[in-house]
Amino acid sequence: MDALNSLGKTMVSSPERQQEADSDWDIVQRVQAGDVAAFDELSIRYRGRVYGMIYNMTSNREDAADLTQDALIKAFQSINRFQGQSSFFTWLYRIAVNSTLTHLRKNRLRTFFSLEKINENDRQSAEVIEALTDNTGAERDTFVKELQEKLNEAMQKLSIRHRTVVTLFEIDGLGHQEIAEIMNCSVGTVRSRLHYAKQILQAELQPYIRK
Amino acid sequence: MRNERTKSQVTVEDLLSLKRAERPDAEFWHQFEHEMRVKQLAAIVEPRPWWASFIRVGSRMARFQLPVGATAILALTFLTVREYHLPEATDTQFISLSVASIAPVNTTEVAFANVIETTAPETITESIVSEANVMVASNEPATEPAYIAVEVQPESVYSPANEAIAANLAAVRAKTPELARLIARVSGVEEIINPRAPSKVVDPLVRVKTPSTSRTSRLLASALPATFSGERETRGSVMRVERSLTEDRVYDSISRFGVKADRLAISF
Repeated sequence: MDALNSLGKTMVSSPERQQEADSDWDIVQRVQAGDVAAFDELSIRYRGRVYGMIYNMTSNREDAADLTQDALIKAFQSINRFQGQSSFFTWLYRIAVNSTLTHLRKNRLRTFFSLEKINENDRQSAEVIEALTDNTGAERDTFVKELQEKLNEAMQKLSIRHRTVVTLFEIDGLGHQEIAEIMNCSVGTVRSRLHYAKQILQAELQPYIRK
Repeated sequence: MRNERTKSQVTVEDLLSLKRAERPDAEFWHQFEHEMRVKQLAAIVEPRPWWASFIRVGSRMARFQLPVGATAILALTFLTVREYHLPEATDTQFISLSVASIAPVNTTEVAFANVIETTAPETITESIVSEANVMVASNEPATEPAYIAVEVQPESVYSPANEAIAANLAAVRAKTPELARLIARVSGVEEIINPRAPSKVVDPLVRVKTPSTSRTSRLLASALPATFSGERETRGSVMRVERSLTEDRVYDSISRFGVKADRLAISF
């Protein structure tokens, strides 16, 4: 068991992530021992990231909320089977990704956008918007809304697997190895999918790209 | 990241980073927490169905669906081909009877008829056509055996009546083949020309006349009377003639004809 734990933990890339994984494992053990309320800590810790990942794949906030809840409940129900072979974060992400893929395959023909507002207090997004438009006020808001819709449309034009890889790498900031673990494929496949997806996105978002 | 580039430069990665800023507000998380709690409690209370474990096992085996399916189809095909047998002709039974006759002229002196070959004696349920191989031993050693198809009931295959009929026919055949052929034709018994060759199984559907056949024969009736085989048309003509002929007229017509021994007289 310890060997398996150490093997899973070697997959975790950064020291911060390692520390997080250790903390998660402690909480998981408490939940497995019967402290059900301890699961709330895990839920609060990861719900934002899980929701963000699902939202960026579905482009629908209601679907994303439902799928996030379902993924957390599935994790809660199955936590006794979690043996620490990977980090809890990876395990939870795998559950969420699989649920989302199933949902997207079932509703392949239904694409309905329900978008969150872009938080312009975020420094990086404010810089990007500033580089794209000099407008202020209502015109700027309109431009941001239009850009957001174009971004989501471009994402929806990707296949489900390519969209997942882009979401996990570019938006959630996961490494190739972690993505390969979550998607149950090789690192080479992840890189290939990422390269192809970026080519498509570049073609779709050409009017907004400044070189 | 952007510090390394000019402010005006925007890449795909920069655009995708905008999606990171799409975050729900605090009110959303409050609602989310409430719904999550309700679902969690429902999941605890609701027992998992007994077949849930099967679904889990099935989903693990999903990757083997294609090879397992292909193997199953191949196995099924192999078994079907291996176990398939052509349906045997069980409605006909071939019986060869060898009848030895000391004096071929005298039909009463036929000694016996042996059943030489029976292909499926126990499975016959309806009237069968047996091929009677009646071998007549005569003074002439080169006498060819006569093969006559006799319709018999399964339980009467060995009856003395059948043996007598077969022996009589064989004797007549040996003495006067023309007469035997005539008897066979008149009595509806078909003489088999080549008995050693297995009877050819004819598909009943082949015997059914197609509408095009009757139509063709009707159209060609005037040109080629020999090919005209429309029974319906003939029957219709007969009925028409019967209707048109009154009894008096028939009597009148008959009276005009006079038939004697070797003469036919017609009065006009």
